[in-house]
Amino acid sequence: MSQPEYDDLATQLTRSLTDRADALSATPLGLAEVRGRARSIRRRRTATALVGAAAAVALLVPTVALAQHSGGGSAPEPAPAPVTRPTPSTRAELANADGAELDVSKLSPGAPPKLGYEVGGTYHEPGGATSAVGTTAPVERMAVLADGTLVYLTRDQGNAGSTQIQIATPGAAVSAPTEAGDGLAVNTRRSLAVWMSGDGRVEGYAVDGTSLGAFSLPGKASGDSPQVLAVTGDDCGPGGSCQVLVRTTDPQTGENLSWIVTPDGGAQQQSGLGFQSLSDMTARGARVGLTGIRHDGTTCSGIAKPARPPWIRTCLDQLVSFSPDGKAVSAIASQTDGAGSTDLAAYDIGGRGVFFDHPSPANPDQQMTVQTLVWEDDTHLLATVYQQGRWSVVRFGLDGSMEVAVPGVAGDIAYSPIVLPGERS
Amino acid sequence: MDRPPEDRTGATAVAERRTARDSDFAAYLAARQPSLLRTAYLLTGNRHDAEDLVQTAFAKLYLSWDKVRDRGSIDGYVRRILVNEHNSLWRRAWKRREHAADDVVLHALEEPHHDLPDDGVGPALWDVVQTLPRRARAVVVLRYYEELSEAETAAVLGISVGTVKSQTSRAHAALRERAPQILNPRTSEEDDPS
Repeated sequence: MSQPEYDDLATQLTRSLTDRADALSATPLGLAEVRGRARSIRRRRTATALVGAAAAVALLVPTVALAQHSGGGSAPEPAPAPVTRPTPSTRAELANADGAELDVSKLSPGAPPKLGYEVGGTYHEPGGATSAVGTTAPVERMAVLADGTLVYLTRDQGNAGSTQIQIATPGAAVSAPTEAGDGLAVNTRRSLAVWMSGDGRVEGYAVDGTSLGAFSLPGKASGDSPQVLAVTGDDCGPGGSCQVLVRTTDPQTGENLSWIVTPDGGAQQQSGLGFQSLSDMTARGARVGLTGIRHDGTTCSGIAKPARPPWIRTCLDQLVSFSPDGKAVSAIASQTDGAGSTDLAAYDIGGRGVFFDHPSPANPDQQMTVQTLVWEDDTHLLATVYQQGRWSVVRFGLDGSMEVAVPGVAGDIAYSPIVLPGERS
Repeated sequence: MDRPPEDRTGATAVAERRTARDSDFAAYLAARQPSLLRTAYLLTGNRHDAEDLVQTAFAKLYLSWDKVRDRGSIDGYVRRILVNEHNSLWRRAWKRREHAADDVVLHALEEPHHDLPDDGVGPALWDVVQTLPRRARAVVVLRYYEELSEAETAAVLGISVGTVKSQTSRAHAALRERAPQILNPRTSEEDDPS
């Protein structure tokens, strides 16, 4: 009779926590104290954005070939670019293109995204056509595969809700939902997408290769809360060479653990590279992730290859994901809050600094938040941006250009109503 | 030198708007502070960290106040800031470095005073909850104190409902394993050979 025990435990927990919390007397936290802490946070952000200490950024001369995603796997790796300027002491010195504030209201409209996207249950094709996605719950993430297959990760907001996968192949209705975990990743060629099954295994769907159709990898990453972050390679069938980056949580310590899961049943923990947690990888073995958290709450990130020291380290921004050609890395603010990032940048992993850095406007009325971002191609990022009560998709070029790709949609600051394919948040 | 009249008008308007903004925020701060502190206390386990956490969460909310156009969403927004701040890696590292030496003193000073009659279950459960990993503890607090649904808990923590379920199940298992005689006194009485 487990149900009565469950209910009893739930009741006892609620009573225990409520008694404990209710016994806490009110605290006299005033507006002045909050404003003081806010000023401190703002100073840190400003210092991080404008006066980053030279020690915080180390752009090291790469001694290894640059990384590439699997899509460019057969092409020769580009030669490492030397550091051509002194060690920078400010972001202005780092920037070699543009550091303009991101104010959506001042941007011109541009072309719609090259890949489809979803808003409120409607799929918007690149050509402008729209159709109902037909999923049983709201779409949280999506992937668009090369043949037009759409993979949706949905989250039911109801009390009995769950995270599920639904697939729509070209010309067919969306499939019945299957239980899923966190994360949805797609490879560079968009030939396959992967996600976590309900029991913590990597599952996926491929539109070519030996793993054509639905597949499941036998290996399993150890730990709680598994989440798919990235996939490289084109073949997840038996003997295939795909690699899936999975993050879990140590059930004892709560620390993040990073794993590479492969079709041969392997699940190798990624350690020894100086990372606290990984966020992306390339087929050539480059890794990007957090290397440390500082006392003031800002983070430090790095890019490295196994058995080699990081060749880029920065505490100015938090590095997120490689561009498809592996030559750039997207970045958000070093410290974010519950809503997202107030800064967006792209780093040149050839060691020449940053392609662009666009902070939020200083004017409180114009402040913006970037919640999710995705590489549209080798030289453009798309990001969902909140400003003045509306969510837009903005295209950022590595040349410093900015334009609106999807006009503003009214929405809550906490959740963007626009879902970009393969987005990272 | 006097500024032109239009400058004074502009400056006055900005000042008035700032005053109205702060008044608006102060009202929200006063209304929500006790509730948020209680949640923070359950997450952190001690008052010192809870107050620090709440102050940071409100400060971040203050910085974002003009961005949050939908006032109905503020509660969820600030709760999300609070939980994310609590879960962030740096706080774990900070706690290990800064608080390891004086944990005993802090607990002795900050333990809330209980006047309610207690059968011993509450403190025992509280002790076990405090040993849960950070995210599992957050799930327990959001589910059983904030009384959020599994889906709402998942949304606040940015994890799947399946993960909420597994974390809850794991927490239940830990509680049953570490406090069996308190959760099921009849079993312990029956097992007692005396």
